[in-house]
Amino acid sequence: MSYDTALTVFSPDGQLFQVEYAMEAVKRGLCCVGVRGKDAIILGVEKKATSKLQDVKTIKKVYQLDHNLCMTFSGLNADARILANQTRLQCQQYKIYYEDDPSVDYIAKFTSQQQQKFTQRGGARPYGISTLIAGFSNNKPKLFQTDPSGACSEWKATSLGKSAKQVKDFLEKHWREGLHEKDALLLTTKALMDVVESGNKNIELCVIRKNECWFLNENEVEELTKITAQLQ
Amino acid sequence: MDSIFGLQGGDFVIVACDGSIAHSILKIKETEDKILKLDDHKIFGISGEGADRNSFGELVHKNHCLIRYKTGSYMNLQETAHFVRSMYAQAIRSRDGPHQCNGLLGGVDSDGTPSLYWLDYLGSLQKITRGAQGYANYFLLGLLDNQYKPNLTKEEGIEIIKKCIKELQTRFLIAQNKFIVKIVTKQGIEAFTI
Repeated sequence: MSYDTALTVFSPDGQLFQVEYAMEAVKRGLCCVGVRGKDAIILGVEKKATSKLQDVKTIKKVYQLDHNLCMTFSGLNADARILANQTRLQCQQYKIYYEDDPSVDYIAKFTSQQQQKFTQRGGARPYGISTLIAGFSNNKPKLFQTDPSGACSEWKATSLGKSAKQVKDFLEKHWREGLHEKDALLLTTKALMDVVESGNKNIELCVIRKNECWFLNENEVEELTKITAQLQ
Repeated sequence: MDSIFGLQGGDFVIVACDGSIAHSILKIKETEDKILKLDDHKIFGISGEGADRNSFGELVHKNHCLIRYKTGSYMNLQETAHFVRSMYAQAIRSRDGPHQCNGLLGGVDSDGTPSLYWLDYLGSLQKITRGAQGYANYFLLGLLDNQYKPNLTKEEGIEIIKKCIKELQTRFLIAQNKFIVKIVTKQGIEAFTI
């Protein structure tokens, strides 16, 4: 009997195959990187145009959830959009109830709860994405990762998708506590450039600060990739 | 019993409100800000019972923010006015009934064009150059019509608002001592108390 076609069935050795397969979908997704610094978190994503006719500039893979909260992902693009919209709604609802911004802890837990709901529901499939959520909690920067099983964990620096292992090894060697924003940006760019197809048009970068998010435009990304290439 | 009134000038919009909250014969507060800031270039003066004013105001503000994060930018004045109108309109035949408050939505678009909208609890929407909500209508419409001219400067606008406040303080039965005035220009929002 196959234990992998229905979501709501455990296999004899205790695995939920559909959830594992969802994580495979994530592993096939484009690379994304998150790095936590002293006063900011950097999120970087690989963008890929499916054909020469597609305008890569218009692909936006870092979703702004609130004025100082951002999310990026690896996996199915459409699932990310849905999850991001649900989380944006939750941010605003939280503000109505509590007259205060939600902390990144709360939002990360909410996102992972949403993902978990779809591992226990008949007739629906899990979200095919792992997300990186960056924001502040008690004025401290934090980076969270969620995955299709609904697990939520905090990271100093991490990466998802294709080549995640290669990037994580690089980050393990080079990340240190208390990185300034500029250094964290350079680290993220360098990590991405190692695995992304050449061309700065294929990288999207976002800096999350205590009160705002800075989405780097084309020229700023180009500047950074030039500096990073020179440093090597 | 709130007085909310406003006018649109050449490159600015002013919305003013009285600051008092009353409960039966008591004045609870004189410095209540009934003009909600939706973003750096939009304000929404709401008139109604405290709870309705606050809850609808919050709903408008949070929906406005949600649309900003979903679409990537804030709506312009026309879109916002129509959106708020649709919130009023959807509520009137809903289980909880209409939102029991009226409003004056004013602001300046990114190209500098000012606009002022009159909204009521049933979903009416009118783009106006000068107007008021509540009892203030009876006392101020004549005065605003008399004093208004196209392309007013900011200083002229403030003078007209001061005349309106003096009129209310002279003739309106309910004593309203403090008024909060907010002006939106391309540079942002200025607020002061008169």
